[in-house]
Amino acid sequence: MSVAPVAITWAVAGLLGAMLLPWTHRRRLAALVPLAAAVAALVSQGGGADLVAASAAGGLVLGRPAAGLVLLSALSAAVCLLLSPPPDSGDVLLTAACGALSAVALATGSPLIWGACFVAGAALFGVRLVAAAPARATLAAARVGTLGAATLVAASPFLPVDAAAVPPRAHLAAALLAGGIAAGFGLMPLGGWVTGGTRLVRGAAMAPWSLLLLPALLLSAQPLDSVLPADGRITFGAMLLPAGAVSAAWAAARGLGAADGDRYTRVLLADLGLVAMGLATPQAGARLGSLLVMLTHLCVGPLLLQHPASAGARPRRLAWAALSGIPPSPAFWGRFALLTALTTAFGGLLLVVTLPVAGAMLVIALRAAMAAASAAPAGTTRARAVSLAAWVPALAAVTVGLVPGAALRALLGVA
Amino acid sequence: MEPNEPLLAAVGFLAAVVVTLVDGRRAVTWASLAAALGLAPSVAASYGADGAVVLLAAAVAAGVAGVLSHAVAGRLPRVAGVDAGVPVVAGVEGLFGPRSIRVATAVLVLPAASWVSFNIPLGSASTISGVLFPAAVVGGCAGMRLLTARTVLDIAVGVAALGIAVAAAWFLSAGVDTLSSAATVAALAPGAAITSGWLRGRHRAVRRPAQTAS
Repeated sequence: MSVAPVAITWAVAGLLGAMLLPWTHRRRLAALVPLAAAVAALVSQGGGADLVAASAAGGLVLGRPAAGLVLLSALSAAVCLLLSPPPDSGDVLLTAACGALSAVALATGSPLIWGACFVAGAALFGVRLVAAAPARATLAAARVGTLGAATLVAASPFLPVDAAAVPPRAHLAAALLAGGIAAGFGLMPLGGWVTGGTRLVRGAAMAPWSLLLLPALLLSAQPLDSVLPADGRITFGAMLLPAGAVSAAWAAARGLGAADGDRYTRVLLADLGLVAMGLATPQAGARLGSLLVMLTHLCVGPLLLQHPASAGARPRRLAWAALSGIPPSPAFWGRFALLTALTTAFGGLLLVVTLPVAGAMLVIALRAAMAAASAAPAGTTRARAVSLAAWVPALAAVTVGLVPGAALRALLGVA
Repeated sequence: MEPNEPLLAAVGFLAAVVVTLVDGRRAVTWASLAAALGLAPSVAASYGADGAVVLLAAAVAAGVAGVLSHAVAGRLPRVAGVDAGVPVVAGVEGLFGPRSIRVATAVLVLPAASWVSFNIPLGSASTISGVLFPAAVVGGCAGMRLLTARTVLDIAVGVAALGIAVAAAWFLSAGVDTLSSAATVAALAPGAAITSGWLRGRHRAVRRPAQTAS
């Protein structure tokens, strides 16, 4: 199925929402914008080929995993907007633009369009962050995010890299792709803007990156290792494996001492480090683990991206439990699959990094769950719809954890 | 007729100089025009005239769209926000200014672009080398502009020039859906012009009246 209905719905709903909601004093209804896109994605569920942007022959067709992700991202953004303070027109427009761009990036078979979507999305997101909170961290988001996406688009003239290609070309294409992914994932040393940015802006302002662009990049980067030739795979893995390991270890270590509001960002970055390591191997387990980790963050992100005092303590505790890595939480299955695949592919030495990271994330989640009660100010009144919506992310995450295989099959069509 | 590669490289280099140095309210327009004019001869020689037209059309669209969006935004009530041309973070006084830093980083692009264009074949079956230099040097300078950005305008200039440079590289490599894909990525230039023009108009700095000596 063509991606056009979804992209057009994102664009039209975003424009209407940005113009009409402030005028009618109904900014709280901004959640209807991604909800409309979710409905469009639901009725145009695709059955096309899997994502092979780096080697496909073109077209704008949503494959089954891509259609599932577009639907999930839109739903996740809708819940995030519902839980946030009423967003202004700029946030609504940015969310809609990034939603449309991520859908096109997931559907396109052209590596040029794929990279260009991320350039446009990263630039708009960075400029919006700068406008919302002018500071070094937000300027770094615009610089690093856009430049990272620019390396993805710079790789496109050198793709597809077939086995007959001369080694410098394979190495260059792989290095550019790995650099772009590292910047998009916020890996060390390119991830400072994520932690700095989330201290300045929260909720709906961060949603375009964490709920729309990042999952699209994660899913569309999955087949890269298998389409690159042997020389390119070596470069790709040699860049992402150490960057991911160092990033995961650093984020987990910093998360142990982080303030309550910074903990989620550290856990997200640590998980992204593990996912980046997983991209360095073609093991099926790494792919499944990455997708489960992505599903987990799509579920809990709308709640934990908000200010700690913005939602009740109990849903936050449940969300942190889902993120802890204690079985049967979805994070456990995802990290377990990733760690197993990494150990199979690269040997037990990696456990020196990955096991402490998983342990640190468990401690961070438990601390955050305990702190959730104290973060909620007593006597705060919230709209009933918002209080109910706060349970949706946590319960969705618990459901994914209880039936991880069925969730992957039903939501993304991945067996 | 064989294309004169040194001449094409020189034109591309001049475009890269403009992309690196240009500042001011119309910076996106000038950078887009310079990139398109600098890369159009290479594309016309390697791909065809329609490729060059796409690049030039994107640059002209950037100029027109930037002016229009600024005019429309200027008619709306001014709102508080970051002026696109004002540095986001106040820099400290230093020996070298922002342009010097941009030039220094752009100098590093030259050998890199030269190496890439003479050692990496383009496209699925091509073994042509050397033709990529103009696009590589303009794209590299656009990347450096992004890396050293101090204002929103710098980001817009970088994105606009990058879009045109990558579109030119796509023409040279004859990638999939060549014309439509290149036109799409060249549309980053008008997109960047619209965004920067809108922000300049919407969040324009309040001009204070000149203080008279008492």
